[in-house]
Amino acid sequence: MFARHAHSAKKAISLHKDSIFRLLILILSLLGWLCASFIASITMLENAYNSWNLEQKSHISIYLDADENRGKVVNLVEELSSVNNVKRAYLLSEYETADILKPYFSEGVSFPLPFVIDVTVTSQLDREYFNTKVNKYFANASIDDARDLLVKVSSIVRFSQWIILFISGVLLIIVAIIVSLTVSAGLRGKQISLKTMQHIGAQDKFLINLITTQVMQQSLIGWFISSILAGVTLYALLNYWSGLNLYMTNYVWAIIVIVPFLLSIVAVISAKLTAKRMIKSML
Amino acid sequence: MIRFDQVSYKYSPHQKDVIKNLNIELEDGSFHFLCGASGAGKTTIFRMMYMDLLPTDGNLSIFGRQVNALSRDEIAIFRRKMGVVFQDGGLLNHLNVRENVSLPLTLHGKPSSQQEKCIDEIIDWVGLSDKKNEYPATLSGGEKQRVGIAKAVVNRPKLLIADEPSGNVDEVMAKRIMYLFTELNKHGTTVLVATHDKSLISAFDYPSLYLENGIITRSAKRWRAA
Ligand SMILES: Nc1ncnc2c1ncn2[C@@H]1O[C@H](COP(=O)(O)OP(=O)(O)OP(=O)(O)O)[C@@H](O)[C@H]1O
Ligand SMILES: [Mg+2]
Repeated sequence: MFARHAHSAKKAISLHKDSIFRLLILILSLLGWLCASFIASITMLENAYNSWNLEQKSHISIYLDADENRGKVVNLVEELSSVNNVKRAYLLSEYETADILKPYFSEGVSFPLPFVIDVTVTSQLDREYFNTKVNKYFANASIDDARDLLVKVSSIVRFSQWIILFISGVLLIIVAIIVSLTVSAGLRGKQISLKTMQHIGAQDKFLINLITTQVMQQSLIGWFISSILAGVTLYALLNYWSGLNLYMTNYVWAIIVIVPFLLSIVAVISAKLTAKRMIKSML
Repeated sequence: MIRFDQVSYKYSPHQKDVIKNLNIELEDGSFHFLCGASGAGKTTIFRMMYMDLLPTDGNLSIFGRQVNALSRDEIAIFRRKMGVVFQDGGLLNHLNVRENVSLPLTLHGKPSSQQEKCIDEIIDWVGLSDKKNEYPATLSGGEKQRVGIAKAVVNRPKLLIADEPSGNVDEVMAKRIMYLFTELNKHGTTVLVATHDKSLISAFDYPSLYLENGIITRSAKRWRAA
């Protein structure tokens, strides 16, 4: 029923040629692009942190002095492999060890290399049992336990996540305000047209729908443009830093679509509310 | 059809009444002139009739209903049965002549082919067939007023109220317009025309309401310049 009405009365209250409503498309596109890129990047950082966290939690390094008996070390490796919840215990080769230590020594690694055992574990590992096992072989073994570090890092990460969440929230609220101010400024300019339509007998619902559908169309355009822009931006980033690919989940792509969509919804809702308020205030 | 019963109106609370204890009754199918000096309150009375203003005091009933008791949707539906000629034309500047005239028919969807024909006929009648696609900005004052008249009558209203319809047009066009109103009146439209033009009033045998200081001071079957 409404589509039939729109055909002819639409031109009387046409928003498409109105510069303020063109501005609305621009605002939606730009802010949608910014918000989507921002929140998508944050999500990628979160993904990066999570995968790092997972890796840290699942690895234990055991350092043994260079003068320890190699056979004893190999025995320890074998015994650790059979411990519950140990996926793999692996004695690093000299090259690998040198590689790990290189960053700490500027003039190459020339002294006898320590033994390094890399153990991959699951989160159910009984640490007490594991540690006594190692210490039984080598009382002065240093077991590199990342838990302290993880607790510290995760509290920092949680804190920055709250800040980011807060900033995203504030950003969305500001955008919503800008969008609704734009819409109401545009509608104020349509007051004469609205009044004229009322005087020939247009009902409130008819006029509100007329405005809402037009804003909806424009918001769809804004949504489309900003999602594409954000997609292109992310794609460019991925090409530039291919390492980012690891943290590029479907979830991130979904954000690029969903965030601008939310902004469009805000535009449509505020258009509807503003139109309603304005039209009902006119007789 | 329309009844003003002790109706008063003031634009703001600390202003004095523009319309004071007004009593008028327009019967179904009647034709009246509304005369009065500039500033007497003619436009104010019209605005109350199309419910742009509600009386600040007294009772006004339109089509048998008290206007104060009407819902917004009911007001809209009542307005569809009315044709209003605005003193300033009441046109939308971004619509051309034809679009302005056809506007009242678009509320129910796309005008039928019969309505399209009617739109062209009425534009012809007011002498604007060669300006159908012009925009109000390029029209003279009188031309705008004629577009406003065409727009007011295009949906064959039950009630036609015209505020100075002949204000900016020459005598021949004024007569033409009056004949159009007469024709509508013969088909049952109730008509009220506000005018200063005494020659127009005397040329037609319709009663006039004379408004002075917000009060109807004379209601004669036929008003003539003394
Ligand atoms: N919006 C308004 N606010 C306050 N006062 C108004 C308003 N409109 C009109 N008036 C006052 O109300 C009185 C009647 O005005 P109205 O427009 O009804 O006169 P009119 O008879 O139509 O005059 P004209 O023949 O010049 O059109 C005038 O004194 C005018 O100053
Ligand atoms: Mg007036």
